[in-house]
Amino acid sequence: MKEKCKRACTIASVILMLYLIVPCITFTAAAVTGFIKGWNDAADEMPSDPIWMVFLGLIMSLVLIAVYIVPIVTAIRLLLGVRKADSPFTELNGKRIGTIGICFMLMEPLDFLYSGIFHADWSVENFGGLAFSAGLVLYCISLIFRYGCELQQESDETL
Amino acid sequence: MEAKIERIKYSARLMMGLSGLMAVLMLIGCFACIAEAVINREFAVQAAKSAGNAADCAFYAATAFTALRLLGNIVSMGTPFGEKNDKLIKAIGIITLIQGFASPAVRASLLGILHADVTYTSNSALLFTGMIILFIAKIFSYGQILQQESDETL
Repeated sequence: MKEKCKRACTIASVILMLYLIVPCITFTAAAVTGFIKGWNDAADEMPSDPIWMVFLGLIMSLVLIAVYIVPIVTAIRLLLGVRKADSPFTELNGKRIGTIGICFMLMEPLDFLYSGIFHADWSVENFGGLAFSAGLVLYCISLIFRYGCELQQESDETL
Repeated sequence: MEAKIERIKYSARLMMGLSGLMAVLMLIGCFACIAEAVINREFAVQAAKSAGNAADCAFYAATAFTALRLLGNIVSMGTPFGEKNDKLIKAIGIITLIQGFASPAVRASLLGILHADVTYTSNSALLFTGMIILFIAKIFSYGQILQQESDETL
């Protein structure tokens, strides 16, 4: 059973890395062209937004990027951790799943705030609830992993 | 250990409420999409799109009902690693994988019959989610073995 888990982990980690690398390439290209265009536009005409708004936008964008990148990186670390360890049930893995869950729960509220503040779009459609529900599910799974960790300890002590 | 089980049960009950709500909403959504398809039957392309949405809602409802059964098992057995739980998780994973392939296929083939300009692309996010769920099912199978060992020791 452990072997099956490890094999599944290897496959999932490879897929996840591809899932991270492919959008990263397109994202980087889009970010570079967007930055150059924004820089040229700003040179042509004076920006109308106040400076604090620009800084707030920058900080919120960085937080948003972090909220999207952290779960993927944590998931890769989780899968590699499960592959290396003897058991999937460790306290560290439980915490990692909890982190992914919290990031998922933050995604939609942050998106909602961002589009509200910077695009004056406060529509509820931005808060679909799918990512929030996925975050809740992941948080429950993290609780189950912590319980599994105790079972694993019991099993190890018995042996 | 008892405190952890209580927390799991509490969150399972919360999730049961959410899954139940989602199942009901998706069923209503499915019927609403079918009704929309029937109303728009003269506008064939719009009707085909509504039929595709109905298929999507049906898949989501099936997932929510399976999740409801799984959570019910967790609450009634008092452990997440109860019998059949890994199979239920596997079922959710398979439903999600089928949805990733089938739902766009239904939409594309209906629109294709109507000679509308359409290309088939599978839903990669759903396919990926399905694979992760199948992976979690494997871990649950291992957890079941640990639970059995623990019960036998006690």
